[in-house]
Amino acid sequence: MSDQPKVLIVDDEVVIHKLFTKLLSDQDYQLFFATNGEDGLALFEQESPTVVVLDFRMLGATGDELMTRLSDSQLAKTSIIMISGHAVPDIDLSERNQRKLYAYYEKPFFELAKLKETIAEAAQLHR
Amino acid sequence: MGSAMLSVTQQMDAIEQNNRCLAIDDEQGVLDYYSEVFRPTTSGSEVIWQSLLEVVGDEPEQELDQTPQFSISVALSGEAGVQLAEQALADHLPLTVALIDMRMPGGLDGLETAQQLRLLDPRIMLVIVTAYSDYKLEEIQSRLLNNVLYLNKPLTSDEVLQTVRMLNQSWKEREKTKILKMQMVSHAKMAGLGTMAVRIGHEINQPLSYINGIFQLLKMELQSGGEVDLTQLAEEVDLALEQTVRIKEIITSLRVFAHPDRSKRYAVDLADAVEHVQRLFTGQLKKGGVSFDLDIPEKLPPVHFNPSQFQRILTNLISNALDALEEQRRGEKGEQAAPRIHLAASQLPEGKVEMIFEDNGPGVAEELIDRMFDPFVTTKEPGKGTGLGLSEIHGMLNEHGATIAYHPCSGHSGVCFVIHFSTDEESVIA
Repeated sequence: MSDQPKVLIVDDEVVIHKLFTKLLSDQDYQLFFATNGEDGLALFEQESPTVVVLDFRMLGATGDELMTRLSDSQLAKTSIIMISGHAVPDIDLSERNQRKLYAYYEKPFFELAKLKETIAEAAQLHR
Repeated sequence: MGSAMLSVTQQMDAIEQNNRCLAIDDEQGVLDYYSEVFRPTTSGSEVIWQSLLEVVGDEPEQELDQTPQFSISVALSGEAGVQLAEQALADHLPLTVALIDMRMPGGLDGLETAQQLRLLDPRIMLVIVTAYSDYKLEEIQSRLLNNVLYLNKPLTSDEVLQTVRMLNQSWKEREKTKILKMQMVSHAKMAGLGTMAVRIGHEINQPLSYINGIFQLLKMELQSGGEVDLTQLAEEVDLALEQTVRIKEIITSLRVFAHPDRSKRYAVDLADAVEHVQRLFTGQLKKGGVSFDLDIPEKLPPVHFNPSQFQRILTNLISNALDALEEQRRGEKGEQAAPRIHLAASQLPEGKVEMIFEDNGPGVAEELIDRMFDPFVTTKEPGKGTGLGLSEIHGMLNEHGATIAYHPCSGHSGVCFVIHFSTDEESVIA
Protein backbone atom coordinates (compact mmCIF):
# COMPACT_ATOMS: atom_id res chain seq x y z
CA MET A 1 0.00 0.00 0.00
CA SER A 2 2.69 2.47 1.03
CA ASP A 3 4.50 1.65 -2.20
CA GLN A 4 1.82 3.36 -4.23
CA PRO A 5 3.02 6.75 -5.47
CA LYS A 6 0.80 9.55 -4.19
CA VAL A 7 -0.54 11.93 -6.81
CA LEU A 8 -2.19 15.16 -5.73
CA ILE A 9 -4.42 17.01 -8.17
CA VAL A 10 -5.05 20.68 -7.31
CA ASP A 11 -7.61 22.28 -9.61
CA ASP A 12 -10.73 24.30 -8.86
CA GLU A 13 -12.64 22.39 -11.53
CA VAL A 14 -14.32 19.24 -10.26
CA VAL A 15 -14.69 17.95 -13.82
CA ILE A 16 -10.91 18.08 -14.17
CA HIS A 17 -10.66 15.86 -11.07
CA LYS A 18 -13.00 13.40 -12.76
CA LEU A 19 -10.95 13.48 -15.91
CA PHE A 20 -7.77 12.64 -13.99
CA THR A 21 -9.56 9.92 -12.05
CA LYS A 22 -10.45 8.25 -15.34
CA LEU A 23 -7.09 8.92 -16.93
CA LEU A 24 -5.19 7.38 -14.03
CA SER A 25 -7.68 4.64 -13.16
CA ASP A 26 -5.49 1.85 -14.55
CA GLN A 27 -2.39 3.13 -12.75
CA ASP A 28 -1.30 2.14 -9.32
CA TYR A 29 -1.50 5.55 -7.67
CA GLN A 30 -3.08 6.88 -4.57
CA LEU A 31 -5.00 9.96 -5.72
CA PHE A 32 -5.75 13.08 -3.68
CA PHE A 33 -7.81 16.04 -4.79
CA ALA A 34 -8.05 19.68 -3.74
CA THR A 35 -10.20 22.42 -5.26
CA ASN A 36 -8.16 25.35 -3.96
CA GLY A 37 -4.65 26.31 -2.97
CA GLU A 38 -5.28 26.18 0.78
CA ASP A 39 -6.61 22.62 0.73
CA GLY A 40 -3.86 21.69 -1.72
CA LEU A 41 -1.19 22.95 0.67
CA ALA A 42 -2.74 21.10 3.62
CA LEU A 43 -2.87 17.85 1.63
CA PHE A 44 0.67 18.39 0.45
CA GLU A 45 1.95 18.73 4.00
CA GLN A 46 -0.10 15.81 5.21
CA GLU A 47 0.62 13.35 2.41
CA SER A 48 3.96 14.43 0.87
CA PRO A 49 2.84 13.41 -2.61
CA THR A 50 5.31 12.23 -5.23
CA VAL A 51 3.56 14.10 -8.02
CA VAL A 52 1.44 17.25 -7.85
CA VAL A 53 -0.67 18.27 -10.81
CA LEU A 54 -1.22 21.94 -10.13
CA ASP A 55 -3.59 24.33 -11.87
CA PHE A 56 -2.02 27.70 -12.45
CA ARG A 57 -5.11 29.84 -12.16
CA MET A 58 -7.42 29.22 -9.25
CA LEU A 59 -9.66 31.39 -7.14
CA GLY A 60 -7.55 32.70 -4.28
CA ALA A 61 -3.94 31.59 -4.63
CA THR A 62 -2.42 30.86 -8.05
CA GLY A 63 -0.30 27.78 -8.65
CA ASP A 64 2.73 30.04 -8.56
CA GLU A 65 1.85 31.39 -5.12
CA LEU A 66 1.29 27.88 -3.84
CA MET A 67 4.68 26.73 -5.09
CA THR A 68 6.32 29.75 -3.51
CA ARG A 69 4.97 28.66 -0.14
CA LEU A 70 6.68 25.28 -0.43
CA SER A 71 10.26 25.01 0.80
CA ASP A 72 13.09 23.78 -1.42
CA SER A 73 13.33 20.57 0.60
CA GLN A 74 9.60 19.99 0.15
CA LEU A 75 9.89 20.57 -3.57
CA ALA A 76 12.94 18.31 -3.83
CA LYS A 77 10.86 15.23 -3.06
CA THR A 78 8.03 16.11 -5.41
CA SER A 79 7.53 16.66 -9.13
CA ILE A 80 5.22 19.51 -9.94
CA ILE A 81 3.30 19.37 -13.20
CA MET A 82 1.67 22.72 -13.87
CA ILE A 83 -1.49 22.86 -15.94
CA SER A 84 -3.15 26.00 -17.20
CA GLY A 85 -6.19 27.01 -19.19
CA HIS A 86 -4.75 30.44 -19.71
CA ALA A 87 -5.51 31.64 -23.19
CA VAL A 88 -2.08 33.24 -23.48
CA PRO A 89 0.90 30.89 -23.49
CA ASP A 90 3.14 32.74 -21.05
CA ILE A 91 2.13 31.87 -17.52
CA ASP A 92 3.70 34.09 -14.96
CA LEU A 93 6.02 31.90 -12.93
CA SER A 94 8.87 33.11 -10.77
CA GLU A 95 12.30 31.95 -11.86
CA ARG A 96 12.71 29.62 -8.88
CA ASN A 97 9.38 27.99 -9.58
CA GLN A 98 10.16 27.69 -13.26
CA ARG A 99 13.29 25.74 -12.39
CA LYS A 100 11.39 23.53 -9.98
CA LEU A 101 8.70 22.70 -12.50
CA TYR A 102 8.77 19.16 -13.87
CA ALA A 103 6.41 19.79 -16.78
CA TYR A 104 3.87 22.23 -18.05
CA TYR A 105 0.65 21.36 -19.91
CA GLU A 106 -1.95 23.60 -21.43
CA LYS A 107 -5.67 22.99 -21.19
CA PRO A 108 -7.42 21.52 -23.05
CA PHE A 109 -5.00 18.57 -22.92
CA PHE A 110 -4.93 17.51 -26.52
CA GLU A 111 -2.43 14.75 -25.72
CA LEU A 112 -3.76 13.08 -22.62
CA ALA A 113 -1.73 9.93 -23.29
CA LYS A 114 1.45 11.96 -23.15
CA LEU A 115 0.36 13.68 -19.95
CA LYS A 116 -0.27 10.26 -18.45
CA GLU A 117 3.25 9.19 -19.40
CA THR A 118 4.72 12.34 -17.92
CA ILE A 119 2.94 11.63 -14.63
CA ALA A 120 4.27 8.06 -14.71
CA GLU A 121 7.84 9.27 -15.31
CA ALA A 122 7.53 11.83 -12.55
CA ALA A 123 6.20 9.18 -10.18
CA GLN A 124 9.25 6.98 -10.90
CA LEU A 125 11.65 9.81 -10.19
CA HIS A 126 11.20 9.92 -6.44
CA ARG A 127 10.70 6.27 -5.64
CA MET B 1 -16.76 58.71 -44.44
CA GLY B 2 -13.92 57.23 -46.42
CA SER B 3 -11.36 58.64 -44.02
CA ALA B 4 -12.26 55.85 -41.60
CA MET B 5 -10.37 53.44 -43.83
CA LEU B 6 -7.16 55.43 -43.60
CA SER B 7 -4.45 54.81 -41.06
CA VAL B 8 -3.95 57.34 -38.30
CA THR B 9 -0.77 58.62 -39.95
CA GLN B 10 -2.56 59.02 -43.27
CA GLN B 11 -5.40 60.87 -41.60
CA MET B 12 -2.97 63.17 -39.79
CA ASP B 13 -1.15 63.87 -43.05
CA ALA B 14 -4.39 64.63 -44.84
CA ILE B 15 -5.28 67.11 -42.11
CA GLU B 16 -1.84 68.69 -42.14
CA GLN B 17 -2.02 69.20 -45.89
CA ASN B 18 -5.53 70.58 -45.95
CA ASN B 19 -5.28 74.25 -46.91
CA ARG B 20 -8.58 74.42 -48.75
CA CYS B 21 -10.66 77.56 -48.22
CA LEU B 22 -13.82 78.99 -49.62
CA ALA B 23 -14.67 82.62 -50.43
CA ILE B 24 -18.24 83.73 -51.11
CA ASP B 25 -19.06 87.22 -52.35
CA ASP B 26 -21.56 88.54 -54.86
CA GLU B 27 -18.99 90.91 -56.30
CA GLN B 28 -16.56 89.40 -58.79
CA GLY B 29 -14.04 92.12 -57.90
CA VAL B 30 -13.84 90.93 -54.27
CA LEU B 31 -13.38 87.31 -55.38
CA ASP B 32 -10.57 88.39 -57.72
CA TYR B 33 -9.01 90.19 -54.80
CA TYR B 34 -9.11 87.02 -52.68
CA SER B 35 -7.59 84.99 -55.50
CA GLU B 36 -4.80 87.53 -55.70
CA VAL B 37 -4.19 87.51 -51.94
CA PHE B 38 -4.05 83.73 -51.84
CA ARG B 39 -2.17 83.21 -55.09
CA PRO B 40 0.83 80.98 -54.43
CA THR B 41 3.86 82.93 -53.19
CA THR B 42 2.33 86.30 -53.96
CA SER B 43 3.28 88.08 -50.81
CA GLY B 44 6.48 90.04 -51.27
CA SER B 45 8.11 88.81 -48.10
CA GLU B 46 7.68 85.17 -49.16
CA VAL B 47 9.24 85.82 -52.56
CA ILE B 48 12.23 87.42 -50.92
CA TRP B 49 12.45 84.62 -48.33
CA GLN B 50 12.37 81.98 -51.02
CA SER B 51 15.03 83.61 -53.17
CA LEU B 52 17.14 84.06 -50.06
CA LEU B 53 16.88 80.34 -49.37
CA GLU B 54 17.87 79.57 -52.91
CA VAL B 55 20.99 81.74 -52.57
CA VAL B 56 21.95 80.06 -49.30
CA GLY B 57 21.26 76.75 -50.95
CA ASP B 58 19.26 75.44 -48.05
CA GLU B 59 16.45 72.96 -48.45
CA PRO B 60 13.51 75.29 -48.94
CA GLU B 61 10.69 72.80 -48.45
CA GLN B 62 10.57 72.78 -44.67
CA GLU B 63 10.32 76.52 -44.45
CA LEU B 64 7.65 76.68 -47.08
CA ASP B 65 5.54 74.18 -45.14
CA GLN B 66 5.12 76.68 -42.37
CA THR B 67 3.38 79.17 -44.63
CA PRO B 68 0.83 76.99 -46.33
CA GLN B 69 -0.16 77.57 -49.92
CA PHE B 70 -3.88 78.01 -49.70
CA SER B 71 -6.10 76.70 -52.40
CA ILE B 72 -9.16 78.84 -52.57
CA SER B 73 -12.50 78.10 -54.19
CA VAL B 74 -14.73 81.03 -54.96
CA ALA B 75 -18.50 81.40 -55.32
CA LEU B 76 -20.65 84.33 -56.40
CA SER B 77 -23.62 83.40 -54.23
CA GLY B 78 -24.41 81.69 -50.96
CA GLU B 79 -26.13 78.85 -52.81
CA ALA B 80 -23.11 78.25 -55.04
CA GLY B 81 -20.83 78.34 -51.99
CA VAL B 82 -22.91 75.72 -50.13
CA GLN B 83 -22.82 73.57 -53.25
CA LEU B 84 -19.02 73.78 -53.39
CA ALA B 85 -18.83 72.80 -49.73
CA GLU B 86 -21.15 69.86 -50.39
CA GLN B 87 -18.98 68.68 -53.26
CA ALA B 88 -15.86 69.06 -51.14
CA LEU B 89 -17.38 66.83 -48.46
CA ALA B 90 -18.46 64.26 -51.03
CA ASP B 91 -14.89 64.18 -52.35
CA HIS B 92 -13.55 63.80 -48.78
CA LEU B 93 -11.71 67.06 -49.26
CA PRO B 94 -13.32 69.19 -46.55
CA LEU B 95 -12.90 72.96 -46.44
CA THR B 96 -11.17 74.49 -43.46
CA VAL B 97 -12.14 78.17 -43.64
CA ALA B 98 -14.95 80.05 -45.37
CA LEU B 99 -14.93 83.80 -45.95
CA ILE B 100 -18.50 84.95 -46.42
CA ASP B 101 -19.80 88.31 -47.47
CA MET B 102 -22.68 89.38 -45.24
CA ARG B 103 -24.69 91.33 -47.78
CA MET B 104 -25.68 89.34 -50.82
CA PRO B 105 -29.05 90.53 -52.06
CA GLY B 106 -31.27 88.19 -54.08
CA GLY B 107 -30.35 84.88 -52.44
CA LEU B 108 -29.00 83.54 -49.19
CA ASP B 109 -27.39 86.31 -47.20
CA GLY B 110 -24.12 85.81 -45.35
CA LEU B 111 -25.67 84.66 -42.12
CA GLU B 112 -27.98 82.14 -43.81
CA THR B 113 -25.08 80.84 -45.89
CA ALA B 114 -22.95 80.51 -42.78
CA GLN B 115 -25.72 78.61 -41.02
CA GLN B 116 -26.08 76.20 -43.91
CA LEU B 117 -22.34 75.64 -44.09
CA ARG B 118 -22.16 75.01 -40.36
CA LEU B 119 -24.99 72.51 -40.64
CA LEU B 120 -23.30 70.79 -43.54
CA ASP B 121 -19.88 70.63 -41.90
CA PRO B 122 -19.67 71.59 -38.23
CA ARG B 123 -15.88 71.71 -38.41
CA ILE B 124 -15.66 74.60 -40.84
CA MET B 125 -14.22 77.92 -39.58
CA LEU B 126 -16.40 80.87 -40.55
CA VAL B 127 -15.41 84.44 -41.28
CA ILE B 128 -18.13 86.99 -41.91
CA VAL B 129 -16.97 89.88 -44.05
CA THR B 130 -18.99 93.04 -44.02
CA ALA B 131 -18.91 96.77 -44.45
CA TYR B 132 -22.10 97.17 -42.50
CA SER B 133 -24.30 94.55 -41.06
CA ASP B 134 -27.97 93.77 -40.94
CA TYR B 135 -27.30 91.71 -37.82
CA LYS B 136 -25.77 92.47 -34.50
CA LEU B 137 -22.67 90.52 -33.49
CA GLU B 138 -24.59 88.86 -30.64
CA GLU B 139 -27.26 87.71 -33.02
CA ILE B 140 -24.73 86.21 -35.40
CA GLN B 141 -22.97 84.45 -32.56
CA SER B 142 -26.16 83.08 -31.10
CA ARG B 143 -27.27 81.79 -34.47
CA LEU B 144 -23.96 80.21 -35.38
CA LEU B 145 -22.88 79.02 -31.94
CA ASN B 146 -19.67 81.02 -31.77
CA ASN B 147 -16.49 80.19 -33.63
CA VAL B 148 -17.24 83.01 -36.02
CA LEU B 149 -14.80 85.73 -36.88
CA TYR B 150 -15.60 89.14 -38.17
CA LEU B 151 -13.69 91.11 -40.77
CA ASN B 152 -14.56 94.61 -41.81
CA LYS B 153 -14.36 95.93 -45.31
CA PRO B 154 -12.26 97.42 -46.72
CA LEU B 155 -9.94 94.48 -46.20
CA THR B 156 -6.16 94.47 -46.18
CA SER B 157 -4.34 91.50 -47.61
CA ASP B 158 -2.31 90.99 -44.41
CA GLU B 159 -5.45 90.95 -42.35
CA VAL B 160 -7.10 88.38 -44.61
CA LEU B 161 -4.00 86.19 -44.83
CA GLN B 162 -3.35 86.24 -41.09
CA THR B 163 -6.93 85.47 -40.22
CA VAL B 164 -7.17 82.57 -42.64
CA ARG B 165 -3.77 81.23 -41.62
CA MET B 166 -4.72 81.31 -37.96
CA LEU B 167 -8.10 79.68 -38.52
CA ASN B 168 -6.65 77.05 -40.83
CA GLN B 169 -4.05 76.25 -38.18
CA SER B 170 -6.64 75.87 -35.42
CA TRP B 171 -8.79 73.74 -37.73
CA LYS B 172 -5.81 71.40 -38.18
CA GLU B 173 -5.02 71.27 -34.49
CA ARG B 174 -8.60 70.57 -33.54
CA GLU B 175 -8.96 67.79 -36.11
CA LYS B 176 -5.66 66.22 -35.13
CA THR B 177 -6.61 66.26 -31.45
CA LYS B 178 -9.89 64.57 -32.34
CA ILE B 179 -8.07 61.76 -34.13
CA LEU B 180 -5.63 61.28 -31.28
CA LYS B 181 -8.49 61.12 -28.77
CA MET B 182 -10.33 58.58 -30.88
CA GLN B 183 -7.18 56.54 -31.11
CA MET B 184 -6.76 56.63 -27.34
CA VAL B 185 -10.34 55.53 -26.80
CA SER B 186 -9.99 52.66 -29.23
CA HIS B 187 -6.71 51.60 -27.60
CA ALA B 188 -8.40 51.59 -24.21
CA LYS B 189 -11.26 49.56 -25.64
CA MET B 190 -8.88 47.10 -27.21
CA ALA B 191 -6.97 46.71 -23.96
CA GLY B 192 -10.21 45.98 -22.13
CA LEU B 193 -11.19 43.58 -24.87
CA GLY B 194 -7.82 41.85 -24.58
CA THR B 195 -8.26 41.22 -20.86
CA MET B 196 -11.79 40.09 -21.49
CA ALA B 197 -10.67 37.74 -24.28
CA VAL B 198 -8.08 36.11 -22.04
CA ARG B 199 -10.68 35.54 -19.36
CA ILE B 200 -13.25 34.18 -21.78
CA GLY B 201 -10.61 31.88 -23.20
CA HIS B 202 -9.78 30.60 -19.75
CA GLU B 203 -13.42 30.08 -18.83
CA ILE B 204 -14.20 28.16 -21.98
CA ASN B 205 -11.02 26.11 -21.73
CA GLN B 206 -12.20 24.52 -18.49
CA PRO B 207 -15.34 22.78 -19.75
CA LEU B 208 -13.63 22.16 -23.08
CA SER B 209 -10.84 20.33 -21.26
CA TYR B 210 -13.32 17.85 -19.85
CA ILE B 211 -15.21 17.32 -23.10
CA ASN B 212 -12.07 16.89 -25.13
CA GLY B 213 -10.36 14.76 -22.48
CA ILE B 214 -13.25 12.40 -21.91
CA PHE B 215 -13.56 11.75 -25.64
CA GLN B 216 -9.85 11.01 -25.88
CA LEU B 217 -10.15 8.51 -23.05
CA LEU B 218 -13.24 6.90 -24.55
CA LYS B 219 -11.44 6.56 -27.83
CA MET B 220 -8.53 4.87 -26.09
CA GLU B 221 -10.93 2.51 -24.37
CA LEU B 222 -12.60 1.64 -27.67
CA GLN B 223 -9.25 1.11 -29.37
CA SER B 224 -8.01 -1.19 -26.63
CA GLY B 225 -11.07 -3.33 -27.20
CA GLY B 226 -11.89 -3.47 -23.52
CA GLU B 227 -15.38 -3.51 -22.19
CA VAL B 228 -17.07 -0.16 -21.70
CA ASP B 229 -18.90 0.34 -18.43
CA LEU B 230 -22.25 1.66 -19.61
CA THR B 231 -23.31 3.22 -16.32
CA GLN B 232 -20.05 5.08 -16.16
CA LEU B 233 -20.32 6.07 -19.79
CA ALA B 234 -23.79 7.52 -19.22
CA GLU B 235 -22.40 9.58 -16.34
CA GLU B 236 -19.54 10.85 -18.46
CA VAL B 237 -21.81 11.78 -21.34
CA ASP B 238 -24.08 13.69 -18.95
CA LEU B 239 -21.14 15.56 -17.56
CA ALA B 240 -19.82 16.36 -21.03
CA LEU B 241 -23.25 17.68 -22.02
CA GLU B 242 -23.33 19.81 -18.87
CA GLN B 243 -20.03 21.29 -19.95
CA THR B 244 -21.44 22.26 -23.33
CA VAL B 245 -24.28 24.04 -21.53
CA ARG B 246 -21.70 25.90 -19.49
CA ILE B 247 -19.95 27.09 -22.62
CA LYS B 248 -23.26 28.12 -24.08
CA GLU B 249 -24.06 30.11 -20.93
CA ILE B 250 -20.80 31.99 -21.19
CA ILE B 251 -21.53 32.86 -24.79
CA THR B 252 -25.11 33.92 -24.03
CA SER B 253 -23.95 36.20 -21.23
CA LEU B 254 -21.46 37.83 -23.55
CA ARG B 255 -24.15 38.75 -26.03
CA VAL B 256 -25.31 41.45 -23.65
CA PHE B 257 -21.98 43.18 -24.12
CA ALA B 258 -22.11 42.92 -27.89
CA HIS B 259 -25.00 45.23 -28.84
CA PRO B 260 -25.58 47.34 -25.81
CA ASP B 261 -27.70 50.07 -27.35
CA ARG B 262 -30.08 48.08 -29.49
CA SER B 263 -32.43 47.23 -26.67
CA LYS B 264 -35.79 48.91 -26.60
CA ARG B 265 -36.89 50.60 -23.43
CA TYR B 266 -40.32 50.74 -21.98
CA ALA B 267 -41.93 51.83 -18.77
CA VAL B 268 -41.46 48.92 -16.39
CA ASP B 269 -43.68 48.52 -13.38
CA LEU B 270 -41.30 47.34 -10.70
CA ALA B 271 -43.89 45.53 -8.57
CA ASP B 272 -45.23 43.65 -11.60
CA ALA B 273 -41.80 42.63 -12.80
CA VAL B 274 -40.70 41.48 -9.36
CA GLU B 275 -43.86 39.42 -8.93
CA HIS B 276 -43.33 37.81 -12.32
CA VAL B 277 -39.75 36.83 -11.55
CA GLN B 278 -40.62 35.73 -8.03
CA ARG B 279 -43.04 33.21 -9.52
CA LEU B 280 -40.19 31.61 -11.45
CA PHE B 281 -38.41 30.98 -8.17
CA THR B 282 -41.37 29.73 -6.12
CA GLY B 283 -40.09 26.15 -6.05
CA GLN B 284 -36.53 27.02 -5.16
CA LEU B 285 -37.56 29.50 -2.48
CA LYS B 286 -39.79 26.90 -0.89
CA LYS B 287 -37.17 24.19 -1.08
CA GLY B 288 -34.58 26.33 0.64
CA GLY B 289 -37.08 27.64 3.17
CA VAL B 290 -36.21 31.16 2.05
CA SER B 291 -38.67 33.95 2.76
CA PHE B 292 -38.95 36.57 0.05
CA ASP B 293 -40.09 39.84 1.57
CA LEU B 294 -41.26 42.75 -0.54
CA ASP B 295 -41.51 46.40 0.37
CA ILE B 296 -42.76 48.16 -2.74
CA PRO B 297 -45.03 51.20 -2.32
CA GLU B 298 -48.20 51.19 -4.37
CA LYS B 299 -47.72 54.43 -6.23
CA LEU B 300 -44.20 53.93 -7.47
CA PRO B 301 -43.52 55.52 -10.87
CA PRO B 302 -42.47 53.02 -13.56
CA VAL B 303 -38.78 52.83 -14.36
CA HIS B 304 -37.31 53.39 -17.81
CA PHE B 305 -35.85 50.03 -18.71
CA ASN B 306 -35.85 47.16 -21.12
CA PRO B 307 -38.29 44.68 -19.55
CA SER B 308 -36.45 41.48 -20.38
CA GLN B 309 -33.18 42.93 -19.17
CA PHE B 310 -34.90 44.05 -16.00
CA GLN B 311 -36.09 40.49 -15.46
CA ARG B 312 -32.63 39.19 -16.10
CA ILE B 313 -31.19 41.52 -13.48
CA LEU B 314 -33.71 40.30 -10.91
CA THR B 315 -33.16 36.69 -11.90
CA ASN B 316 -29.40 37.07 -11.52
CA LEU B 317 -29.72 38.74 -8.13
CA ILE B 318 -32.18 36.16 -6.80
CA SER B 319 -30.26 33.15 -8.04
CA ASN B 320 -27.03 34.55 -6.57
CA ALA B 321 -28.80 35.05 -3.26
CA LEU B 322 -30.29 31.54 -3.32
CA ASP B 323 -26.90 29.98 -4.05
CA ALA B 324 -25.29 31.97 -1.22
CA LEU B 325 -28.05 31.04 1.23
CA GLU B 326 -27.83 27.40 0.20
CA GLU B 327 -24.07 27.38 0.67
CA GLN B 328 -24.50 28.94 4.10
CA ARG B 329 -27.09 26.33 5.05
CA ARG B 330 -24.78 23.49 4.07
CA GLY B 331 -21.91 25.15 5.90
CA GLU B 332 -23.84 24.34 9.12
CA LYS B 333 -22.08 26.83 11.32
CA GLY B 334 -24.15 26.40 14.45
CA GLU B 335 -27.32 28.37 14.78
CA GLN B 336 -28.45 30.25 11.71
CA ALA B 337 -30.92 33.02 11.11
CA ALA B 338 -33.84 32.02 8.89
CA PRO B 339 -32.76 32.55 5.26
CA ARG B 340 -34.30 35.69 3.85
CA ILE B 341 -34.29 37.86 0.75
CA HIS B 342 -35.58 41.38 1.11
CA LEU B 343 -36.44 43.68 -1.76
CA ALA B 344 -37.50 47.26 -1.09
CA ALA B 345 -38.21 50.11 -3.47
CA SER B 346 -38.88 53.79 -2.97
CA GLN B 347 -39.19 56.96 -4.98
CA LEU B 348 -36.32 59.42 -4.78
CA PRO B 349 -36.38 63.06 -5.88
CA GLU B 350 -34.94 63.98 -9.33
CA GLY B 351 -36.86 61.29 -11.18
CA LYS B 352 -35.16 58.31 -9.59
CA VAL B 353 -36.39 55.06 -8.11
CA GLU B 354 -34.28 53.24 -5.57
CA MET B 355 -34.34 49.48 -5.23
CA ILE B 356 -32.58 47.77 -2.35
CA PHE B 357 -31.85 44.07 -2.61
CA GLU B 358 -30.61 42.25 0.48
CA ASP B 359 -30.08 38.73 1.69
CA ASN B 360 -28.75 37.35 4.97
CA GLY B 361 -26.30 34.92 3.41
CA PRO B 362 -22.55 34.95 3.97
CA GLY B 363 -22.02 38.18 2.01
CA VAL B 364 -19.06 38.99 -0.20
CA ALA B 365 -15.48 38.48 0.94
CA GLU B 366 -13.67 41.73 1.66
CA GLU B 367 -11.02 41.12 -0.99
CA LEU B 368 -13.60 40.55 -3.71
CA ILE B 369 -15.66 43.70 -3.13
CA ASP B 370 -13.56 45.87 -5.42
CA ARG B 371 -13.74 43.34 -8.24
CA MET B 372 -17.23 41.95 -7.76
CA PHE B 373 -18.62 43.61 -10.88
CA ASP B 374 -15.71 42.42 -13.03
CA PRO B 375 -16.47 39.52 -15.33
CA PHE B 376 -15.55 36.00 -14.20
CA VAL B 377 -15.26 36.88 -10.54
CA THR B 378 -17.27 34.35 -8.57
CA THR B 379 -17.60 33.16 -5.00
CA LYS B 380 -19.64 30.17 -6.02
CA GLU B 381 -18.35 26.65 -5.76
CA PRO B 382 -16.04 25.57 -8.55
CA GLY B 383 -18.01 24.80 -11.66
CA LYS B 384 -21.17 26.46 -10.40
CA GLY B 385 -21.09 30.05 -11.50
CA THR B 386 -19.76 31.64 -14.64
CA GLY B 387 -18.85 34.77 -12.70
CA LEU B 388 -20.66 36.81 -15.30
CA GLY B 389 -23.92 37.51 -13.47
CA LEU B 390 -22.95 40.65 -11.63
CA SER B 391 -20.90 42.08 -14.48
CA GLU B 392 -23.87 41.48 -16.73
CA ILE B 393 -26.12 43.33 -14.28
CA HIS B 394 -23.61 46.14 -14.09
CA GLY B 395 -23.45 46.37 -17.87
CA MET B 396 -27.21 46.41 -18.37
CA LEU B 397 -27.77 49.02 -15.65
CA ASN B 398 -24.98 51.17 -16.98
CA GLU B 399 -26.42 51.16 -20.41
CA HIS B 400 -29.77 52.39 -19.06
CA GLY B 401 -28.14 55.17 -17.04
CA ALA B 402 -28.91 53.31 -13.83
CA THR B 403 -26.37 52.62 -11.10
CA ILE B 404 -25.63 49.78 -8.69
CA ALA B 405 -23.61 49.94 -5.49
CA TYR B 406 -22.69 47.30 -2.97
CA HIS B 407 -23.02 48.10 0.72
CA PRO B 408 -22.24 45.97 3.70
CA CYS B 409 -25.50 45.17 5.44
CA SER B 410 -26.29 46.95 8.62
CA GLY B 411 -26.99 44.64 11.52
CA HIS B 412 -26.69 41.29 9.72
CA SER B 413 -24.48 39.34 7.37
CA GLY B 414 -25.24 39.13 3.66
CA VAL B 415 -25.24 41.30 0.59
CA CYS B 416 -26.98 44.62 0.09
CA PHE B 417 -27.24 46.10 -3.38
CA VAL B 418 -28.59 49.60 -3.90
CA ILE B 419 -29.79 50.26 -7.43
CA HIS B 420 -30.93 53.61 -8.75
CA PHE B 421 -33.18 53.60 -11.81
CA SER B 422 -34.41 56.53 -13.84
CA THR B 423 -38.17 56.87 -13.89
CA ASP B 424 -39.87 56.72 -17.24
CA GLU B 425 -40.54 60.38 -17.95
CA GLU B 426 -43.18 59.97 -20.62
CA SER B 427 -45.40 57.82 -18.50
CA VAL B 428 -44.93 60.14 -15.54
CA ILE B 429 -46.24 63.04 -17.59
CA ALA B 430 -49.08 60.98 -19.01
